[in-house]
Amino acid sequence: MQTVSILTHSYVDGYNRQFKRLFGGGLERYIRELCGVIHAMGLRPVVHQLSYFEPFRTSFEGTEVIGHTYELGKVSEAFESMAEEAEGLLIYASCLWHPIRFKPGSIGICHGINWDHGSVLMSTKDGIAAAFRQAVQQLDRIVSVDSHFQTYARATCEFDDRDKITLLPNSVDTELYTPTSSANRNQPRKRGYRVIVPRRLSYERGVITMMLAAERLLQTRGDLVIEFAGELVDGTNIADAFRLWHESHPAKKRIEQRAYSMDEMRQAYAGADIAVIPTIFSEGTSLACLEAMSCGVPVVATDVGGLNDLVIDGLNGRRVPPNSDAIADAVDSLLNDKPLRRKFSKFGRETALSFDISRWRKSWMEIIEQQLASRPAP
Amino acid sequence: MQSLRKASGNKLTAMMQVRNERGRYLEASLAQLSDVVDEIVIVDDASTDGTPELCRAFPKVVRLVELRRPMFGEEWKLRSLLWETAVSTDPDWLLAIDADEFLERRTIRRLRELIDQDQYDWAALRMFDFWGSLTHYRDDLWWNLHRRHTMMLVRHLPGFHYAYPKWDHHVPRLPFTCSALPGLRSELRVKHWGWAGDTSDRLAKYNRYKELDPDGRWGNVDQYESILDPAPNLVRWVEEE
Amino acid sequence: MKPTTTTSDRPCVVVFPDAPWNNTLFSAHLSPIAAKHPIRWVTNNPQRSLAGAPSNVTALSTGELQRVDWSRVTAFVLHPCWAAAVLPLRPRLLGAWTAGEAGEDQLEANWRGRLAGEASFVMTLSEPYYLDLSFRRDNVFVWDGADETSDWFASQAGLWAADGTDPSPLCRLQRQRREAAYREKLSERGENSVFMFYRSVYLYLLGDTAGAERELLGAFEHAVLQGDEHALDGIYRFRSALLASQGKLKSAVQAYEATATTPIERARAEELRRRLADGEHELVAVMLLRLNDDHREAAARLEKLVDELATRVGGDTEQANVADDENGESDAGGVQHAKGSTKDMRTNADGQWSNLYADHTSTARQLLVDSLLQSGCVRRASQWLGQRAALSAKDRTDYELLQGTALLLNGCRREAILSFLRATEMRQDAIGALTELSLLDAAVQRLADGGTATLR
Repeated sequence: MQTVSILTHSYVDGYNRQFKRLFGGGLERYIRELCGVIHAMGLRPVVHQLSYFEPFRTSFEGTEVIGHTYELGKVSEAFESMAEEAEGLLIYASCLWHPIRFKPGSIGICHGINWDHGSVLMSTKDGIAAAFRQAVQQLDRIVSVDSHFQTYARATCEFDDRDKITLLPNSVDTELYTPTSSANRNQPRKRGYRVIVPRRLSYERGVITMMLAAERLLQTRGDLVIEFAGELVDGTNIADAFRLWHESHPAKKRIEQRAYSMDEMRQAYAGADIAVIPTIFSEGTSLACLEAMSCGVPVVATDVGGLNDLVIDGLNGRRVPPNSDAIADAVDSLLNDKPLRRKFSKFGRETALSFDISRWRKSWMEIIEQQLASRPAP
Repeated sequence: MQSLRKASGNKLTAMMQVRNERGRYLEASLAQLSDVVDEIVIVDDASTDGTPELCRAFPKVVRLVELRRPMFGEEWKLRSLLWETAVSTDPDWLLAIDADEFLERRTIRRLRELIDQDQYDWAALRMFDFWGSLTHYRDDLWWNLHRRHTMMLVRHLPGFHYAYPKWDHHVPRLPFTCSALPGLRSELRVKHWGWAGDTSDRLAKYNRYKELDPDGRWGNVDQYESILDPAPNLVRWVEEE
Repeated sequence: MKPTTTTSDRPCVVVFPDAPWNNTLFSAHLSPIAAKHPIRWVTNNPQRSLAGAPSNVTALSTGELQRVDWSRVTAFVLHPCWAAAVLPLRPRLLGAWTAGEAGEDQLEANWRGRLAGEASFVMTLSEPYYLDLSFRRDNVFVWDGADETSDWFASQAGLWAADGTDPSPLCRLQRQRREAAYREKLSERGENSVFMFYRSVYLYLLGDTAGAERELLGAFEHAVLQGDEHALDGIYRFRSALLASQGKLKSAVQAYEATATTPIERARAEELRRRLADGEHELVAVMLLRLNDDHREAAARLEKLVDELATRVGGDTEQANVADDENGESDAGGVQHAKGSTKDMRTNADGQWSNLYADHTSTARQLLVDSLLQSGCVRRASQWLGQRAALSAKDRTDYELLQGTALLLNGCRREAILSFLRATEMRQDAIGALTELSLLDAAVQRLADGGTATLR
């Protein structure tokens, strides 16, 4: 059986030594789905990851997972040494912005741009550009989850093969994330409005911006509840800021915050009138946005990164600049406009369907087949 | 309002205290200085040999203070008077030089670039004690001034607090507060001919020191004795251009 | 000498502690006060906090703070982390007690400055900090055991304050005593640059700038003789402040320039020369004071200057309008139009003048805000900061941060949090202000619990 090795900095939760559990982020979910595709193709996936502590070998959902130790700060060297040990077709699933010497005949994945902020130093941005140029030279193909990185790569790098940078947006399982039944659509509203912010609470994901937008909205709408549906990490600046704000807020009962598991998230969407994705920077294809749209929840999103690939302002959602006034205005007027919400709900769902996971799986199969075919026989 | 520090066009004024220098090197010294500096200021410490007349013969001597009674025994007063007189002519830089000191040709050539800058406010040069001739200098235990630096040039900063220590002898030629300012230790050289005369000259000096300072309160007794050393270590001087 | 108070209107003394009674840095200083006054000690854990305390020191819980009549209270604040809790209460007198600067963490350092700036008076145990603070505000006292009489003045200041009387008249007396003590030490032990420099500073603070200058030059000479490499920038430079306060601006600028050796210092000297040549005398004087860290005097002068500039612009505009009326010719409709070129000229001149004033005023305001902040006077500083809209993105962030701190000290906690959030929206690192508030809350909890502010 042919092997496809996936190299990544993170998969199972080595940081907390929970080897039977994935670290809970987008990257890890992506790799999990990719392993599923590889299994379905009758191939053997192996995941090589960095280990925070000692090396380990384990298995997750039938996939062998090998943890490699590394020296802090020496990520490129770590990836190079993982590549030495790995068999078969290599897929570099993360850290492409590091100056890694890639093994010929390999594929890389870029999950989006996360340095798209005015405060990031020019020297950092230049360093990243240099690293990507190298990656584009050395890898056979780079899969980009959003059009922004694709444009960036085309505009920054030199390459001959016009298919080198392939756009393969993230997906959503539209059978899992479905709208609530339309039965109670036309009934009079029994509860106040509910706005959900389905993101982990962090600066780049716009939590501060959203808190300021919430100020206006909660003041002018006495029946509005805003839910921050994401993880709040104890001991961080963001946790301090959020708690101070929440505890001193006169309408604190109409501000909710909790972390949901993936299953529970679907219920959270079901109860929401609007989903806000207020990202400031660093957004690939936003899974949260896709999920919300797939559940038929009208979205208000910012014009950052991959959100621009999903939302067309006025058609399937609102797309606004990443500041609190613009977000508050958009949410406010959308709450006043039921027909528009219905339109966004419908078109949002249609949008999500075209990002259905079946298409994603099919695209990856094609990519892997092509790559295997193009390699010389062992 | 002008900057305190000019990087060009600095007026260089030599300041000198003299006492009975006629017949020694004074004429040659003033001739050299007239070629090198813009103005010369002199305080004559009650000379009895016509030294002031000789000074007056040089047009660059713009101030000449003739003391009736010598101040040599209260050296700090003499130094302060010379300083005040020199400062009253509005100099940019001051060269504190004695009548028996001569700048090497290379020093003369480089003098202007030393002062035409705005980075440092004093310059110290290497002074060589010529011994018994104008061709050799002395280099041994007690005679090694050239291994150190002697501050000879200072920029005059209007309003700055210049002070001399209130001693009677061995008062530095420039106010000691200058050393708080940034300065340069240069490798440029100066020749001191005070000891370049013959043995009787040196003997006369020796006697004068022993008379003024028998216990070595102001100077070092061993150094005084070394003046009589019959075979001092002498090094041939090679003049740099 | 000291005004007397009757028992009935004897105010209360409330202490906001730095540690339990047994561990406080100030027990030796508070004991004599406790002997004469009942003291309320803020704590939620009296058993821990007041073990070993005299019987008339009783607990006051944080829950009871709102019920106190603060208009009759003297508050002694022994730890800067109480600042945001105490200042909004507006006690009649607020004494900030501090050991000095050594060994504290960043949180304490930030708030020490603010508390010192906003308090009615400051009591410190360290002379260097006493002198540093005296350059930022009035009413500073030192209790350092260096001299009996000086210590007596300090203890009297504490007692007066406990009695509800502003101790400020004692400040100058203590200062005079300390200057005299240095004079005595110098005549006993001979001249040395350190004592002479300190004496010079005291003379300056007492207003004897000529005496201060004499002493300073002596200190400078000794420092040079000792080979002190900071004789020029550490000692001589201060002469520029002395000359500036005597109004001898040209000499002051020269004195500063003599000490200017780095590119930044030279640029400052160049700016001073330029502004002096342009006739901006008051601004030059203020800049020299600031270069010598005399923010107290600088801020006082700047407040006057900014007021003056504001009136000047208004006055000139009035004059210009009157002149226009005289020059203009009315048409039938009573509409005035001036003889073309004259009016244009006047407008241009007005425009130029008002631009000049605008530049002066804006510089003066910026310097005023900065000097007030350096003195810890957050609330006064925030009043002088310009309108939000006119500022650049960076300045808007600083504006929100400053406003937030001022709001906090005025007791408007929620508005403060919103200011900090707005600052953070513009600049990520401004979130530090919110984390700092969290840490402050935690510190106050610990202090109220009878612990120390930080987890040492």
